[in-house]
Amino acid sequence: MRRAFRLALGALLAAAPVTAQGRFLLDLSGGSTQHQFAEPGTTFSLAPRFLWRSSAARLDVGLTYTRGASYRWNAEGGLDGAVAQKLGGGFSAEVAASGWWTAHPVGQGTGQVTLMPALRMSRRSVDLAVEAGQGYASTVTAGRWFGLLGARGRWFLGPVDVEGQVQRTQFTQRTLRWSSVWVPVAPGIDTLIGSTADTLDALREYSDLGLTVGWTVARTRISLGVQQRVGLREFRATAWHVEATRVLGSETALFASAGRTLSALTAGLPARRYMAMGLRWAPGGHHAGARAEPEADGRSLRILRDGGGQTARILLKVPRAASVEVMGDFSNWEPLALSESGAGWWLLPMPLAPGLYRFNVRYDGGRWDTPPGLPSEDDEFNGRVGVLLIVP
Amino acid sequence: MNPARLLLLAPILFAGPLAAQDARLEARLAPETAREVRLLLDSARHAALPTEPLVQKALEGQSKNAPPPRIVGAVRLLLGALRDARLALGDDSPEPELIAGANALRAGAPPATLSALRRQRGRELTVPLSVLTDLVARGVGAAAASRAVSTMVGDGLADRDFLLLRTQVEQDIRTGVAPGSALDHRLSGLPAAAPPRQP
Repeated sequence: MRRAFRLALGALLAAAPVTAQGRFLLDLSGGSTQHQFAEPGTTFSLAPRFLWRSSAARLDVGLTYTRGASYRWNAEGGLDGAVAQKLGGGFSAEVAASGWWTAHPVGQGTGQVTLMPALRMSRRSVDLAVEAGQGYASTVTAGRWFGLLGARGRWFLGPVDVEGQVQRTQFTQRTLRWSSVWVPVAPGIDTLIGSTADTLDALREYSDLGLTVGWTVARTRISLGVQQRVGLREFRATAWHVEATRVLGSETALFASAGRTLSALTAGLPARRYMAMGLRWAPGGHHAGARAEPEADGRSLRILRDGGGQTARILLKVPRAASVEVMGDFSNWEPLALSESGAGWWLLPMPLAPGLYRFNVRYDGGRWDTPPGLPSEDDEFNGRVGVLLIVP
Repeated sequence: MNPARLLLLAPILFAGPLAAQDARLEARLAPETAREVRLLLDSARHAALPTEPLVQKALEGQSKNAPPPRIVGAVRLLLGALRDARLALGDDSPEPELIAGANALRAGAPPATLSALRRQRGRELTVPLSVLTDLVARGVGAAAASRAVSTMVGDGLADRDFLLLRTQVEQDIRTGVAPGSALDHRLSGLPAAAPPRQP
């Protein structure tokens, strides 16, 4: 297999929430991917997608159009009901039941349609595929799927999160293959030289094991993951990915990712390698009436534990300021000057007990503003006020 | 002492003596405004409602140069929220819980949610209600935040679980995830980040 991966540059438009629980994703990306059985090439894709999720159900409908070395469109839809049991320490387990269908014609002049209703942890499902190879051959595949069982757990250790997942797939696939071969004998005239039909019954079983470690600090997140497919030799494979995301503002983030995916056997898609860079844009990422303040001009806020963890001190980073003041319900709404502690950091002189506080900040005697990096709400006086929850 | 209980006591720590509250108002508000606010404070005391949040709201308005009618109106609104919180949470609701309940109501939580939470959980709700308010301030819809807190209370989760959820949602929002989706994913235990499309 050739080892060709190319740097991909892309733009990703994503995540405009349309309801409190649903979001519309519009992905615009470009770059290059090397598939196992295809020539690499520069591709461009446009992918609107709608996701809706509650604590017990999931709806995922998407459409992808890709154009490049080959073109492909892909439509997907799914229903996923989940029962989540929250355990101690932020761990959760999931048992899911899902229904799924997908359709994706592939390549110039060729087409493939796959209908794959599947029921996880269930008795049966049906896989039906119709494939036409450049108009000269067709394949019909039908099968029954007996089990798709997955579990996922996630642990949070401060800025580090670790996610493990396992999915076991066991199925019987009955394949009916009918092919016809046509040979051109004259311009515009093809002749059928033969056709074949056969059936195949086979038991297939494999498991995918995955482990991802993420590290989030301030506005940067880096994650590394590895996935191993075990089972019959023909299924054994390893995948990996690495991704870095840097939040630029409340609506934008820069990301870079690379990796190798496992083949999607149930969808008939081969493994691939990729490398990508892009921009994520989340327009309207916050609901009207409340907004999270983006950090700007290098300004940020930190909570410093004090008094054996029983109290906290507020630290504000405000580069190039000559004075910083706050006023809030901890100061009877009277201005309180912060003391400079070096490197642009300013310290609130009084410790705060755990609780919910509201306060504003101003720099160099300017207008009162919301503190950087804190959520804010309407103050009922034609302005906004920062909300700070100090936890024990 | 359970650290989470410190959260319950915080408003009390900052509640000054009654006389001091009045002195603050007299010193900083216009006489007529101070008189109207005092009347509202008397109503609060008569109903055994906390007065310190009302004083703070009046002082906030004064510091922000709000016109007197607006200051009185804001204090009246907050008093109404405290009354509604009392109705929803019951006469035995402690002061920190009442304040947290009023904040949650002002953030958009329905009173019926508070009543349901009280029925579901015998002990104090200050932490869950404070987390609810914090989530709304971070951009989570009030209805979604209310549902989430109700679900967690119904599941019998401890205060530390609410604080953990709030921390996780905050973390996700900082990485660019929409607030509602962050809450939703954290509740279901699924990864919050929408996977970037690979070209």
